Amino acid sequence: MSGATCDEGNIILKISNLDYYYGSFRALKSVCMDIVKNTIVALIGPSGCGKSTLLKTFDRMSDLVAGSRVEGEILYKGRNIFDPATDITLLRKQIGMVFQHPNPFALSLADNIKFGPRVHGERNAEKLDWLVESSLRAVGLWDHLKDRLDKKATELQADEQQRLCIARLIAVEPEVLLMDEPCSTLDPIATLNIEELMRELKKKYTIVTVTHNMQQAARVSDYSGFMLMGELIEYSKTSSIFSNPRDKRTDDYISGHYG
Amino acid sequence: MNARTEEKIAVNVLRFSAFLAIMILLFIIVYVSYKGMGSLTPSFIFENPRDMGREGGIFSAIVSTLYLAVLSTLIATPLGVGTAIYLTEYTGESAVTKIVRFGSDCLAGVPSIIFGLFGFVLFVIYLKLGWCLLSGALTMTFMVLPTIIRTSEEAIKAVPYELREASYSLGATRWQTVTKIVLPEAVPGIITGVILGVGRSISETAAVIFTAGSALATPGSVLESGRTLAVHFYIIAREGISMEKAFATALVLIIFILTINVITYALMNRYISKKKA
Ligand SMILES: Nc1ncnc2c1ncn2[C@@H]1O[C@H](COP(=O)(O)OP(=O)(O)OP(=O)(O)O)[C@@H](O)[C@H]1O
Ligand SMILES: [Mg+2]
Repeated sequence: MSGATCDEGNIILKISNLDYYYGSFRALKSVCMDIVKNTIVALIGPSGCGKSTLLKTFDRMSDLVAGSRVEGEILYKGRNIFDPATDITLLRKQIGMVFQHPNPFALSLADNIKFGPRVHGERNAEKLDWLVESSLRAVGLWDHLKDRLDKKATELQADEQQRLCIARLIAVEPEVLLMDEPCSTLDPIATLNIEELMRELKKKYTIVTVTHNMQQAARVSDYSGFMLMGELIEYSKTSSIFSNPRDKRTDDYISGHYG
Repeated sequence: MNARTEEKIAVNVLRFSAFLAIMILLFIIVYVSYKGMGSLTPSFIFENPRDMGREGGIFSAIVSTLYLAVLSTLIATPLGVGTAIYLTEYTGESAVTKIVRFGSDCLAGVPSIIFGLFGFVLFVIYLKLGWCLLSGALTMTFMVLPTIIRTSEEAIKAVPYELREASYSLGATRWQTVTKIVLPEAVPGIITGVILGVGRSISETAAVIFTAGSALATPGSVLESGRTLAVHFYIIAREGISMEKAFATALVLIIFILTINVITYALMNRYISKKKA
C-alpha cells in the first residue's frame, strides 16, 4: 500500500493500520502511509471520505471530538503520538494546522502571531517581535503590512487572513504543516499565491494538504493519496498517480467520474 | 381578509406592543419624578434619615445599597463565570452539565422570599453572622447566580468554535484558550448578565430585609446591618411614614439603575468597537 516509501531515514510521519471511529462509525480504515520530510502530500477523494479526519489525527486535534476513538499507530520521528506520555501541547507545536476557513483571532496582527510563542512560554519582547517579522516575511505579508501591525487581523482580506494564519503557525517553529483545503474560500489568483507559498515553505517544512481540486494537487504536491470511504486506496508520487493510477477507482475519480 | 390587510393589522399590533413597553417605562419615570422631585435636594442625598425616615435624607441607605451591590457582584461574578466556563469548556454536554444547568434554572425560579429565609437560617443564624450586609450580599449572590451563569454560558457558547480550534492547534491548553481567546470575546455578553444581577440585588427587598436587616445608621463595615434604598422605600411607604420621601427614594433608585444601564451600554459599545477597530 505505502508505495511511496523512500529512504526510511527521511520519513517524518509513519502511519500504520490507523483506524478512527466517531462513536461506532469507522471513519478511517487501516490507513498506512509514510510521509517524507520536506515534501508536499496532497490528500484527495470525494466529500466525506475521511481526508479531514485523517489530517486531524496527525496532531491529535481528533481527540477533541467527544466519543471518538483511534486504533493503530502514527510515528512522528519514530515516536508513537498516541502514547499516553505524549505531550499534546508540544506535539501540536511541532505539527500545526491551517484550516479551511481563515480563523485569525480578533486581535492585532502582531498579537495573532505572538499568541503561539506566548502559550509556549516565550516572554522575551525582542524575540517575539523578531518572530512577528520573520513569520510575516515567510508568508509574504511583511512588506505590505509592517506599518500596520496593530491593525485587527479580522479586517484583512480573506487570502491575507489565510496567510496570517500560516504565519501564526510558523511562529511556533513547527516541522509539519497540515492544511485542510486552505484555498477553498479563496479566488483563483489568491489560490495560486498560496500554492506558490506552499512550494516555498516545503524547503523548511513538511506539508500535508487536503484539496478537492485535482489541478491543485497535480500542481503543488510531490505525493498524492486517494481516499475513498475511509480507505487510502492509492498513495504514490503525484506524477505517477495522475499519469498512471494503479487502481481503477483512482482512475475513475481523477478522470472525474465521482463527485 | 386578504394578505395586505392582514399585514397591516399585524404591523400595527406589533407596533403597539413595542410602543407599550416604552410607554410603561416612561410613565413610571415621569410619575415617580413628579412625585419625588420635590424632596430630591442635595441634603436629601447627603444627610442620614432622622425620625424613622420622616425627616432627613437617605445617605446611609445609599451607602448600604452600594455595599450590597458591589459585594454581591464581586462574589457572584467569578462564581457564575467560573461555573459557565466549566459547563461549556470542560464538561461538554455531559450528564454533569445537564444536572448543574437544570439546578441553576430551578434556582432562578425560586421566589426571593425563600432565598431570604434560606439566607437567614444559613448566614444569620447558623453561621452566626447576624443581620449584616455580608449575609445580605451572600444571599443575593445565590439569587443572581443563575442569571450570571446562564448569560455567561450563552456568551461563551457564541464564541466561534474555529477560534478554539485555532488556539488548540497551536498547542494552547484549555485554560490558555479560555482565558486568552474565549473570555475576551465573551465579555460583552457576560457583562450583560452581571448588570442584570446588579439590578436585581439593588431592587430586592424581601430577601434583604431577612438577611441584612434594616438598620438606619450608616454601616461602618459589611459586618453591620444596613438598609438599602429598596428596603427603605418599602418600609417608609408601607408604614406611611412619608410618601414624599418614599417617592424621592424611589427616584434615586431608578436613577441608580438607569445610570448603571447607560454606563454599561456605553462601555460595552466602546469595548465592541475597540475590538473591531
Ligand atoms: N464529528 C463527527 N461526528 C461524526 N461523524 C463525523 C464527524 N466528522 C466527520 N464525520 C464523518 O466522517 C466521515 C469523514 O468525514 P471528513 O470530514 O473526514 O471527510 P472529508 O473527506 O474531509 O470530506 P470533505 O471533503 O467534505 O471535507 C464523513 O462520513 C463524516 O460524515
Ligand atoms: Mg474535510
